[in-house]
Amino acid sequence: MTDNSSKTPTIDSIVEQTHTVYSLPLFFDRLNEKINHPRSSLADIGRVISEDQGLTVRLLKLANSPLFGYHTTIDSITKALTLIGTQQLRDLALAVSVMGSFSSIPSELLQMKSFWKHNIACGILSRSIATYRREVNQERYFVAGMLHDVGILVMCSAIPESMKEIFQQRAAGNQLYYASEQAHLGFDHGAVGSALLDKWKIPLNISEPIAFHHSPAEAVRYPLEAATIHLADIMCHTLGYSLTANWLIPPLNNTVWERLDIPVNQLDTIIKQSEKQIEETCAILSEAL
Amino acid sequence: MKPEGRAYSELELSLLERNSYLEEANRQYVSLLDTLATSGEFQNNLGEAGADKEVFEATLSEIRKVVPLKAVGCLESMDDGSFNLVVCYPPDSCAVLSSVVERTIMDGTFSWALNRSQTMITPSGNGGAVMLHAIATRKRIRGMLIGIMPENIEYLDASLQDVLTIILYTAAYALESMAYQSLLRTNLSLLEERVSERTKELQSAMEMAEAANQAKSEFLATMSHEIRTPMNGVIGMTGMLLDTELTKEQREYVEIVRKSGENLLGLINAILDFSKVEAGKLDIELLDFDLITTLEDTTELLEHQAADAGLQLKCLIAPDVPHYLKGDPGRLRQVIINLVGNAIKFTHEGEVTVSTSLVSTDGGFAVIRFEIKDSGIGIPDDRRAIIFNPFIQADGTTSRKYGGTGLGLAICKHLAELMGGEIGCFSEPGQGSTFWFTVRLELLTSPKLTPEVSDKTAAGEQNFASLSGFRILLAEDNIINQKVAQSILGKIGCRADVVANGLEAVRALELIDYAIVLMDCQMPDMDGFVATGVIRDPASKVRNHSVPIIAMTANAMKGDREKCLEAGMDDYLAKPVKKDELAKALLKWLTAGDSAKVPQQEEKGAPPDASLLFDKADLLSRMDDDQDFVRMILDESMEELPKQLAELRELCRGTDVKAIRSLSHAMKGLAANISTTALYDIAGKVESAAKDGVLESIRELLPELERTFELTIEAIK
Repeated sequence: MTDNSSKTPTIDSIVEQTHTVYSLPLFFDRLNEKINHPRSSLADIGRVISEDQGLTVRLLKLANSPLFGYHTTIDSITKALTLIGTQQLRDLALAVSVMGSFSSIPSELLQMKSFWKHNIACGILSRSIATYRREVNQERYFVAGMLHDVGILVMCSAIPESMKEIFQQRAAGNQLYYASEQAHLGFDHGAVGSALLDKWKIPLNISEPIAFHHSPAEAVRYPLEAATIHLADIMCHTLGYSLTANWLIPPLNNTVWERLDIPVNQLDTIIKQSEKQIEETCAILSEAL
Repeated sequence: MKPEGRAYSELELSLLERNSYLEEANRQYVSLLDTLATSGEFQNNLGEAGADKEVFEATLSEIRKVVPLKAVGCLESMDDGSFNLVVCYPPDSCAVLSSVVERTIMDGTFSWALNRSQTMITPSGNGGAVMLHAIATRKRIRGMLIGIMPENIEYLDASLQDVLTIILYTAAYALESMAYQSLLRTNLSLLEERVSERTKELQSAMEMAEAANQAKSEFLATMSHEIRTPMNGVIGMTGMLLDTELTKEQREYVEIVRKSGENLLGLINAILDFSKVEAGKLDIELLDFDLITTLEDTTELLEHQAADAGLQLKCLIAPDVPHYLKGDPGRLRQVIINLVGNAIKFTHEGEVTVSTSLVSTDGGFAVIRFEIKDSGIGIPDDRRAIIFNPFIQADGTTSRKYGGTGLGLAICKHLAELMGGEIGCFSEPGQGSTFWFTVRLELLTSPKLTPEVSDKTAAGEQNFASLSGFRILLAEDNIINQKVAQSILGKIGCRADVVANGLEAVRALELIDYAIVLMDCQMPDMDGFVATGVIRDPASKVRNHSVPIIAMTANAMKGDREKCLEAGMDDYLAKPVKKDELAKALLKWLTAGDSAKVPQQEEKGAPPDASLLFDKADLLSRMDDDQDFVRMILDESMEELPKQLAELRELCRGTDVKAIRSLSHAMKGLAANISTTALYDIAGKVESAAKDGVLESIRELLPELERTFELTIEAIK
């Protein structure tokens, strides 16, 4: 990987540089096609997933984790598809696959374990907030939360020197991380992450909330999703699931908080529910790294 | 297009396959979007649904449009956490669906599906896969959709699943809004119930308060009666005591007793009147009366009182105030007497003026305003608003200084309102007060009042003397009527004891031998008819069962007289009672009655007509029988009178009322001088007509004056 950060990087240049390196597993398109096909059967969909043995094992582990808490064992992908839902399982598969796609970031630049822990925690908190609000397809929130900082990975890979500078500067000063990015580059990791997902043709309901998770008021089509990720991200920081130590906690957007309409005392319940799931999910998904 | 002569390559086949997939998918999307876009009927059905069941039915038919299902049904979530199958399609599938529900509940898929707002299809070994979808809003689970998939179909594509979710979400919100509506209705009816309950409580509280007030009024009325009966005894016996031989000192003491008794009785009567106001029993009589006369009589009555207090009482009547009205002169007098009484009470020097004016006339009614203005102590601003409330006086401390019950103005207010008017006052402390009130009375086009002319002459003043000394009992419940009757009786030299009802009358007659009873017919507790019955009943304790009883009644109707006579009364007087009629009746019954009750006085009998025209005997006796002097006076008068008559005739053609008045006054004086009563009377009438400024009445009187003049001249000659 060559560092092109000597030239002024743009979002496009960064994505262009990385999307060939980090590609979505081919099977994902086929899975999507099956799910949307009027003549598909559960068995067809199941077959596509089962082609990836590692993915299948991790999905079944997730299906049996406290994330779902089904009362008996889910021992087949077909059963998982039935109980969790096809679109929902597809979204889980997406999260798992993407996670496996980024691997070669030097650990002195970024600790992958804590990076993913922060993102998984954000995914689970987002999903818990969606569950509390009885949203349809809560797995979508999980994926969006889990991939919200993917832009950082992309930037670490494409412009490692710039990122190093930004990280150092952040550690020394008291500027918010994404503000440092803005100051340095004129854009932040949210924009980069969503640009990559768009390139991968991931639905807008996942990519838009990621783009605006630090500025949720700007989300146009999926403001509620953006608001949810925004809140979950801040909760992660306060709960100690930060990327690195001494990470400054981003401010909560008040308009967004009011739009979500969650009683403060419910936050405690949401956090308690999520904490159990975070540890277990991290354990299952870390195997992919 | 199939390439000529060769088989499809693998790539071509896969592209064809992909093309057909995209076409199919596109068709599916278009059709589903169309279903959603044309869901107007569904929305309408939901909106019109009157019950949950109708919402479920509409939902079911909408679902069936989108998904082919072997059987489908809706379960409603009940308050106790259970689920009821409310609708199924086809109708005979209920049993099957119920058993499927049982099964999914047992294996946990039902509760799993409840918590996931998405379509869940569980494959089954036989009888088709089962589809479950919760019907829930963000807040609450409202029900569950359950369906049995057709054979071999265990999957619905993503877009179809999303459409199902949309339909059921809509249904859930329709159910929720219905639940809120019914909650609202329940609350509303609860509220209505509360309001009506509270209204009932208030009603009963009000009834209790009214009953208590009624009881108070009745108590007051009873107490007043109870107190009054012995008071009547005290006053009556004091009167008898005064007729006996007493030393000067004793007479003084007894007079004080009598005066105090009468004052006390007055207070009790005010309380009784007020309790009638409270009980709504105060009524207004409708009589034809002459307002001007009533006013003059009333002020005359009050003049003494004012004079005693060192004040001047003025009575101003605007010229356009009508004479003849239909109303209750007694009650009118009561208000005026009360207000003037107050004015006199609170004025230490200066004058009290009673002004009467006409406010308006319309539709045969006249609104008349009375103003009683004094130069007294006045009323402070803050008290002025409440002085018309019962038991209130302008100054709590004044009741000690000035006395009174504090009921007078409350009664006046009620009376003024009963007479269709209002009452009010304006005042400045230290500058005096003006109390005003209005009444609305029917105008009489022509006076139906009996002319007093002929009667007046029937009982000459001198004859009243023959009535003095008789003890008269007056039974009359209206205070003012009592006062008026007493005043008239006083003028003709009689003294009357007053009782307020039949029962008191009977009691009084048990104590004292009255010479005659004046009996009002309508009285509370015991009316005049019943009382007469008791008096005439030989078994009663009344001392004289044959005492003459003269009825006084407001119902001036035919048959009343008969009714009175039938009841055992001796004569009948129509109210309002006039002095001369009363005198005539008294004369008739007192002088013609049992000699035992007639005081030892010479009976004169009615004077002949001739003596009215010219009473020579009277003239001679006044002139000490100086025949020459009499002749001289007569000659002079015979010369003067025709001149005056001619001048009067002349004046009547003009409008100088003042001149007429002074001329008629002169003529009246001349007539009196020579004992020509008839001429005196007619000249007096002309004078009073002139005083009123009514030129027409003067002209009407002229022929009578001429005729009387002729007759008088003849009589003298």
